Amino acid sequence: MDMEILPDYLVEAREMLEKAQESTLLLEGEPGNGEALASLFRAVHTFNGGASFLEVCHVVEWAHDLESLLDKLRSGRLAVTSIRIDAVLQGLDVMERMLQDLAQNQIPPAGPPELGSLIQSLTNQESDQEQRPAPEARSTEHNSFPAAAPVAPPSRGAEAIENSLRIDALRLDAVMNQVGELVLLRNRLASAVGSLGKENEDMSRIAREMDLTVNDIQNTVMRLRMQPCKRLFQQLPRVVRDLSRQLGKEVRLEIVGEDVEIDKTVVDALSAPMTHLVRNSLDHGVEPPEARVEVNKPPAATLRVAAIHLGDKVRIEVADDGRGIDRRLVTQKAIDKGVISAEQAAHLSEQEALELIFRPGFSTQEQASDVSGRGVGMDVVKSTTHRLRGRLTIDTHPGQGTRIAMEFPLTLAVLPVLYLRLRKDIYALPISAIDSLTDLESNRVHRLGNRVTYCVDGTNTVPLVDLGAILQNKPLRMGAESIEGVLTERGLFVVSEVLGNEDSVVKPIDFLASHTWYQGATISGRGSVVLILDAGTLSAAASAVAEGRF
Amino acid sequence: MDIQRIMRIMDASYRTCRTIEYALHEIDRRALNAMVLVKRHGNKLAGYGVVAQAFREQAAHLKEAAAPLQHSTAPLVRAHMHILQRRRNAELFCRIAENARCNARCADFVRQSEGSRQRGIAAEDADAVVILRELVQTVARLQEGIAEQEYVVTNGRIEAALSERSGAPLMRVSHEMGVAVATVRDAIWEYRSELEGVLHESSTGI
Amino acid sequence: MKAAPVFEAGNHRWWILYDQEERRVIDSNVYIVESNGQSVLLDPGGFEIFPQVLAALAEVIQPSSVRGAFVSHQDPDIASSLPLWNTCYRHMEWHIPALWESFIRHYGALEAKFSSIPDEGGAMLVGGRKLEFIPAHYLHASANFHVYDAEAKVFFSGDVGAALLQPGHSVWVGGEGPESSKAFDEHIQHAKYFHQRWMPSNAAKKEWIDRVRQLDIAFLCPQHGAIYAGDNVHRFLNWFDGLTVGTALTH
Repeated sequence: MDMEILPDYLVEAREMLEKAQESTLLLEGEPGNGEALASLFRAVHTFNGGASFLEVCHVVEWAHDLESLLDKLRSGRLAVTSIRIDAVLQGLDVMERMLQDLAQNQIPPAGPPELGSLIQSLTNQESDQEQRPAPEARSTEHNSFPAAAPVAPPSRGAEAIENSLRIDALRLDAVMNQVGELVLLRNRLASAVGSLGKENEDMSRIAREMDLTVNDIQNTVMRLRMQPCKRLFQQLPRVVRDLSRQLGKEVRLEIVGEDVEIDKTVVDALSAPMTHLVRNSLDHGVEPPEARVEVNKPPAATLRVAAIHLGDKVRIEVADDGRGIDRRLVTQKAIDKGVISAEQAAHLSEQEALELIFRPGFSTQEQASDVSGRGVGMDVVKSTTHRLRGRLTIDTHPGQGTRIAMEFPLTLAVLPVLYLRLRKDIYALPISAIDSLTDLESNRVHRLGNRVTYCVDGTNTVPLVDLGAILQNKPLRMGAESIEGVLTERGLFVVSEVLGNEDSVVKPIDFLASHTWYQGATISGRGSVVLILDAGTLSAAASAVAEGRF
Repeated sequence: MDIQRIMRIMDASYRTCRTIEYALHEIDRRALNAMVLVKRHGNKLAGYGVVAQAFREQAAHLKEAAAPLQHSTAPLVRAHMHILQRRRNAELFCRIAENARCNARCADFVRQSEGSRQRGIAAEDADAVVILRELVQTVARLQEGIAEQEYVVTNGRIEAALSERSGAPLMRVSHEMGVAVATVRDAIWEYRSELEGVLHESSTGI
Repeated sequence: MKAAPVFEAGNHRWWILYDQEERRVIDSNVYIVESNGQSVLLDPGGFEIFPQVLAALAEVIQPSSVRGAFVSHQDPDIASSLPLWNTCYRHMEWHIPALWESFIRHYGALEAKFSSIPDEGGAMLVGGRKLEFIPAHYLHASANFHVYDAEAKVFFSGDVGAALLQPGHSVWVGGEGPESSKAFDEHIQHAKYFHQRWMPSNAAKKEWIDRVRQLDIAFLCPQHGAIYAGDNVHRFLNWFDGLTVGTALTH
C-alpha cells in the first residue's frame, strides 16, 4: 500500500462515496434518472481508480464488482430495481468500512463473500425480470455488518479523516497573497527600523522577532502549497506501458524522488509537459530493441524520471539512453520549417542549435505522429518552465541518450532577491540565479571580437554580461566608475553596486510586452517598486549582441 | 606644535578613513555573499544567515561611527593652520623687532603686540587640544564597535564549523571576514596611538 | 569650504573646493587634479582662506599626495597663501608665469621652488598625465595661463567665466539639473560686470576664444563662481565672444 498518496486518496474517496450514496438514493426514487445513474457510476469508477493506484487489492476487487453491476445498469442491459439498489447501497457501506480501515493504516480484509456473490449474481442475470431478493443474503448482510450503518462510523476513523481538510484553492491563494503583503510590510518595517540607528534597542528587537515570526508564517503557508512529486509522476507508468507496446519498444521506467516536494502550481502545470517529455523520449529517443542490440545496448531502454532537491531549487529531469539528438538534423529541419533562416543558423552555437526544438512550430517528425506532437509540444514545455520561473536545459550525446532537465524554485510564493544598483537605477535579481558575488579584476576580462568573457578562476571562464550596455545602452566603464560582479549560472553580470538581499514577493507586470528583461516587479523595503531581472533573457541578449545577431 | 606632525596626523586620518571604508565595504560584501550562499542552501544554513546579517548591520553601524572621524579632522587642521598664520605674522614682527632694537619706543610697541600674539596662539593651541581630545574619543567609540564586530566574527566561525558539512564555503568566508575586521582594528589602533602621541606632546607643551 | 568631484575616471580625478565660509574676501574656487596618487593645486587661494582649503583638501585626497601648484597669475586671491603651503609642503613645486616670479616671491617664501612658464605656454606631468598651460595673456593679467587636461576634457579658465554668486551656490551653472539655456542666461547675469570690468581687451579675448574653440572641453572651470558643463561651455564662449569688454567700453 502506498502511504504517500493515502491521505489524498481518503479525502477524494470519501467524497466519492458520499456522492455515490446520494445518487443511489435519488435513483431509488426515480429509477429512470439517467443522470443520477451516470453520476453514481462515475463516482464508483473514480473511487476504484484511486484504489488501484494505492494497490489495495480487496478494495479494488470489491469496487470493480460493483462497477460492473453499475455498468450494466447504465447501459440499460439490466433494469434499476429495488433489490439492485439495496445491493449497491450495501456495497457502498462495505466500501466505507474499508476506507475506515485504511484511515487507520490497516489493510482492509476482503468484503463479505455473501454480499459479493449476490452482487456478482445480480450482475450476471441476463433477464430483466424482477428477482426476488434472497432472504438469506439480506440476513447475512445484517449479521455481518451490524455497525455498517454510515451514521455511526468508529470514532478513530472519523478523526483520522477529519485531520485533513480540502481547501478551495482560491482561499489558499488569498492567504498566500496576504502573506505576501505581510512580507513586504515586514521588509518596510525592517528598513525603517534599520534607519533609526542603534539607540532603539526595543524597536530593533521587536523588528527582529517580527522578522522571525513572518518567516515562520511564510514557511508554514509555503508548505501548505507543497506537494510530493509523486502526484506528478503517478500517471507516467501507465503512459510508458501503453506507449511502449504501441511502438514495439522495450522500456524500463525508473522513477526517483517521488517524495520530493514542490509548489502545487508547479505540480499542476507540469503534468501535461511531463507526459509530453516522456512520450517524446519514447517516440524519438528510444530505439527499437533490434536497433539497440545492433549498437551493443541492452534491448530494453531505460527511461529515468527524477526529482532532485537542490537547496532552494527542485530539479526535475527526464533522461533516456536512446540515440540522442542530431544537431545538424535539428538545424536543417528548423531551416526547412522556416523557424530560422540559413544565415541565422550559421551563427548558432551547438547548444543554441539544440534549443531549436523548443521553438514554436518545430517538430522533427515528418508527419505529426499520433504519439508525440499532439496538443502539447516542446515549446509548451519551454513556456511552462519559463512561466514557473524555472530553467530548462537539454543535454544530449549521440548514441548515448538525452537528458532534459527543468529547475524550479522550491516555492513561487516568496522570491529571495538581491538588489543591485546600475548607475542611478535599482534592480532586483532572484538569488536562485546567483552563485556568488565577486570583485572584478580587469586582467581577467578577455575580448574575442564582440564576445567578452571573464576568467573566474583557472578553470572556469564565463560570458561577461554588462547590464549597463543592455539596460541603459551605455556600457559600464571599468576603472572609471564603480563596478561589481554577480556570478550567475548564465555568466558574470556586471553592475555598479550590489546593495543587499531581501525575501520579496513578485507582482506581475502585465502592461509590459511578454518578452522583456523582467520577470515582474517587487516592492522594496524602502517602499519603491523595483523591477526583477530575468537572468536568462539578459544573458541571451548579451550573446546575441556578441554574435552580431542584433 | 611641529607642523609636520600635524601633516602626518592629516595623512593618518585620511589613510585610516580610507582603510576603514575599504575594509567595511569588504565586510559588507563578504557578509552579503555569505547571505546569498545561505539562501542558496535553503534552511540548512539559517544559523549562519543570522550571523551574516549581524555582520552587515555591524558594518553599517561602524561606517556611521567612522563618518565623524574625517569631519573631526577638519577642525583640527583649521585650528593648526590658524596657528600657522599667526606664527607667520609673528615672524614678521620678530624681524621688525630686530631691526628696531635701537628705537626704544618702537621696541616697546613690538614687545606689547608680541605678548598679545602669544596669548592668541596659546588660546588657539588650547582649542586645538580640545579638538584633539574629541577626536581621540571618537576613535575610542569606533574601537568599541570593532570589539563587537570581533565577537560576531567568533560566532560566525562557530556557525561555519557547525554547517561545514553543507559544502558551502562558509569557513573561508568567515576567515576573510575575520581578516577584514582585523584590518580595521589595526588601522584604528595605529591611528589612536598617533593621536595620543600628539595629545601628550600638546598637553606637556613640548 | 565644500569639496566635490568634477571628473572621475579610475585614479584620475578633478576636485573643486568651493563656497568658502569667509565672506570678507572674494569667494574663490580651488581645484585639485589627482592622478596615480599625485596631486596638484590650481590657484591655491589667498592667505585668509588657507586653513579652510587645507581642511577641505584633507577630506578628499591623501594630504601627502600634493606635489605642486599652478598659479595662473599674481593676484593675492590666488597666490598669497604660498608661504603657508610651503611651510606644510617643503618640497612642492610652483608653476608660475615667468613674468610674475619676482612679484610672487613678495608673498614670502623666498626659498620656494619655482618653475617658470614662458609666455608661449608649456605643460607639466601629474602622476604621468599631462596638463597643458594655455596662454590667456591680458585675461586679465599681462602674463596669464589656463590649464587643459585633454584626457579628462577639463579646462581650468582662471578668471574667465567667473561669476559673483551668493553663499551656498551650486558647483554647476544651473544647479544639479540638466543644462538649459534659461539657467545659463540667469547665471551669466552674475558674470557680466566681472568680465566687462576685469577683462581689459577685446583683442586678447578674441585671440583666447579662437584658441580655446580648438579644444574639446566638457567642463570649463573658473576660479570664481560655478562650472560650465556640456552645452554651457559653448554658450559661454558665444556669450563671451559677443561681449564688449575693458578698453573698448571706455573709448
